[in-house]
Order: sequence, then C-alpha cells, then structure tokens
Amino acid sequence: MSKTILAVDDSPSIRNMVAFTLKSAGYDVVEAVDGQDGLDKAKGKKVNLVLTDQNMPRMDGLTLVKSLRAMPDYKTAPILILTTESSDEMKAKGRAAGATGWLVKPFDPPKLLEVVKKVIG
Amino acid sequence: MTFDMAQFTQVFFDETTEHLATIEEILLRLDVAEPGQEDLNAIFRAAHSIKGGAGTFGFGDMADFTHAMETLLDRLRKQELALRREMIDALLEAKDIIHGLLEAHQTGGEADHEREVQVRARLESFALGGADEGAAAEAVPVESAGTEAPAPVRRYRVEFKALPGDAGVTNLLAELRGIGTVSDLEEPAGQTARGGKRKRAMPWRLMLDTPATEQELHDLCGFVLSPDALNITVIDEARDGGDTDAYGFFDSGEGDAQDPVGYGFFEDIANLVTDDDPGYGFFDRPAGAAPAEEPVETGFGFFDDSPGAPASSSGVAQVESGAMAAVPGGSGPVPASGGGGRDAGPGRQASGRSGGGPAGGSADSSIRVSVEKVDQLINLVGELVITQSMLAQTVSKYEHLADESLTNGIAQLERNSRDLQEGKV
Repeated sequence: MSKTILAVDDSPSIRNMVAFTLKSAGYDVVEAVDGQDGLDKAKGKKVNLVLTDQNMPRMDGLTLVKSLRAMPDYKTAPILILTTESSDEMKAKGRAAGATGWLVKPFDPPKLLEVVKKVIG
Repeated sequence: MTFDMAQFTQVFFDETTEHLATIEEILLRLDVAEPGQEDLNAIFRAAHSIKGGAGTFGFGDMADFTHAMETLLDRLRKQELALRREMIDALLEAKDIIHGLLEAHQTGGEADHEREVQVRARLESFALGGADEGAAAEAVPVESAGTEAPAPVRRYRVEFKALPGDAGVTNLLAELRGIGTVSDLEEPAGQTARGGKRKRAMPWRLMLDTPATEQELHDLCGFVLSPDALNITVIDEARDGGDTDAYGFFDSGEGDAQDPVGYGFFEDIANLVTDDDPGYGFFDRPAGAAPAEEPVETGFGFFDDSPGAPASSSGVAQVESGAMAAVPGGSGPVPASGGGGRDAGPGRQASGRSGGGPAGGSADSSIRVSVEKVDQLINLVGELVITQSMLAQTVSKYEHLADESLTNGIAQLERNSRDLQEGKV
C-alpha cells in the first residue's frame, strides 16, 4: 500500500509542486491549505509523513506540529517543516515543537524526494 | 526522474497576481497611525509567499527584490518600526516593481531595473530605520533616499575570519551587497587543515560603501561572524553619522526569537545546489527521526552552532562524526540500509549507562573530555530516547490494560529522557 503524505502549504503553486512531485514518486498525497486545515485533515487518517510550511494564515506550521504531537496518532509520525528560514532559532523552535526536521525553501523536486525517502522510504 | 518546473509557473503567476492585489488593497486602506496587526501580518505573508514561490520556481530576481520588501514588512508587523506614509508609498511602488518583474517573466520582456534598484534602496533604508517607534519617526536620515538623493555613504574596511567558501559568509556578502557596494573583495582560497577534512578559518577582506552605520554593520555581520573575528574600520566619513543611535539588526536576541520567519538569509537556488549544506536536516527526536547514512545534519551538536548563524557547511562537518544511528519513527518502515538501528538500540543502551555516567556527573565543573566520548554519549542518549519512545508507543497501545504505575513509570522515563536530551547534553 502506498504511503500517505499530508502536504500543508498556503501557496497553491508550492502545494501543486509538492503534491505532483510526491504523487509521481508513488505516494498518496493529502493537501491542506493552512495549519488548521492540515490539522482537520490529519484527524482520523493514517498519515505516514507530514510536510508543512511555516508561515500560513489561521495556523502556522509550528502550531500545527505542536497540535499534531498532542494527538496519539501523531506522537511519532515524522513531521518536516518547510521553511525559508534556516537559522538556529528556527531549528530550535522546530525541534522544541516536536518536528522531525526541516527542509529549506526553495527546494527542488529531487531534493524533496531525497528527503522524503530518507524519512519514510 | 526529471521535473519540469514550468508546469507550475502559471499557477505561481496567478497566485502572485492575487497576492499583489491583496497587498495593494491592504496598503491603500491601512491607517498609518494605527495599522491593524492582522493586516500587517497578511501583507507580510503575501510578500513571503511571493518570495518563496519565486525562489522555488526559478525567478531569482523576484525573490531577491521581494526579500527587501518582506524585511521591512516583517519589522512593521513586529512593531519594531512605526508605519509611515513614505513607507506605504515605497511598498506600493515595490508592488508595482514585482508586478513588472512578473510580467517580464510571463511575456519575456524587460523589467525597469533602474527603478527596481531605487525602490529597493528605499525599502532597505526604511528597514534599517530606528528600533523604537519614537526614534524611527524622527531620526531616520535616509528618508529622502527615494528621490535620488543618496543617503550619506561611508566607506568601511571589513575584515574577518571565516572558513573559505562558508555558506553563511556567502549569504552575508549578498546582504552587504544589498545595503551597499562591495569592492576589493579578498577571499581566501579553499584550503584544508593538515590531516583533517575540517577547514580552517581564513582572513577575508573587503571594502564597503554604504549608508549604514558602523553599528549596523557590526550587527549585520554578527549574524554570521563572532565579534572577535570581525574588524570594521571607517575609512571615509563622507558625512556625519546622524543615525548612530541605530537599532540592533535583530541582534536583540528577543527579536530573533519572536518569530522564526522574520529576517532570514535567503538561499537562492544556485546556493542550494552548490552548497555543502544539504539544506535540510533532522532533529534527533524519537518522532520519525530519519536514518543517517550520509552527512545529514543529524547530531545534537548542530544546535550548539552560534545563534543567528545560518546553517553552514561547518555545521555539517561538525556533526558528521557524531551522526547517530537514528531510527525512523514508528509509522515508517525501516529502510534496508538503516535497519540495524532498532535492534541495536536497547543493546547499546545498556552499555550507555556506564559510559554516560561520568560525563553526566561533571556538568557543573568544566573538564576536558575527548570528542569521541562526547559523541558516544550523544549517540547513547539518542538511543535511549528512541528506546523510550518505542516503549511509550507500545504501552500506549495497551493503555486500557496497563497498570497505572507502569504508565507513570513510562511518563517519568519520557520526562527524564527529554531532560537529558534537551538540557543536559
């Protein structure tokens, strides 16, 4: 069974690109337009990996990570933050929120797949 | 597999047009005296999205220009600067510039580069303005920059020590070019220290003509360089330094910590491709930690990097030796190459207790410990945390059956592991 990835980004073009890339590599992709939407869509679903943008309306990426980690189903699921910010503060915050890792934007499709494969194969 | 990014660009164009409309609409109705926080957030997000998309889809000029706009918007939304009418004008012009760049990409035409440079300089001057609102409103000497009268430009000699080809320095140079003119750049050639892969810090030298104050330069460089590795000399005091009551360029620690997506060293695509830094990393959390077959930034040591510095190649080198046998989280199957981790965990953890003891007990007085020992300790803590996480997951499945003392014990173990992982290592 192919693995499911939840892709959360408020930018349609980035979301398209991420979803297309992942789908073409054989993953199932659930798209969400912001953190709140991501959280809603994560509920009651088996998701193998969450990729989330940081800066989004309604709910940002870090809040989404924290909220997911509070849910039993997502205690250990890999969550990556896609961010333009690669400073240590950002990383420390990501880490504190419970994220598995980060991916610096801009990234290209091969880089995305490389990272995703490292996490869920 | 090859990907044609062009297939997404139309969506990006549409999206950007929408963002620009949003920006304009908000700017036109903003109350200069009391701009709404949500409005400021919304414009910032729009600019941020444009920048991110432009970078991703290969429109470096747009990403670059929008970065200047975003930086100003970021300071405005954090209330670090008071909004002024001139800023709104500059931002509206910036919106037009981005629109022009967008059209140029869509139609293959030429954008107005001269105006782009002017508006960008104004945005940057505003963004460099005073830290507190009162001061900003009165004492920003660069206000008139937009009407072609340049702000007083001084010449500085900037000398520092850093690794050859350091990614942080590359970003810093880009920043310096953003606020002035860099000349006579002397860059050390790549060179490795004897016997090791680790590079040595080498002297860099450059001249910079900029309206920024010496303090601002220090603060800007402080992002990447430690103060004692940095020497800035004023060569030519063109005019008086009216703005020496300058603010800290996010150096207030607090400003940095406030919001993760404020000011950032934006890596363009070229950078990402050529960089040693893989551009991503994994935290050593039990939750879904990835296998580390190659020098991915996986070590705890990563977080010991100087604060504010962008991920640099040295950061990777640092953790390379300490790359731990991380295990994927419960939900993902273990890739063949990383398969040993799960089994190895508990076994090595046992030996870890004896190994971890001495170093842990010496936390409050400083002693010299070999890097190997520290690496070992870090690895073992990682294993411990992973084992703890696996236990916790297993127990959570039997929550309805489990004895309360078992659940409590597991919770205690989790707290202890986390303390060990976050605080004591």
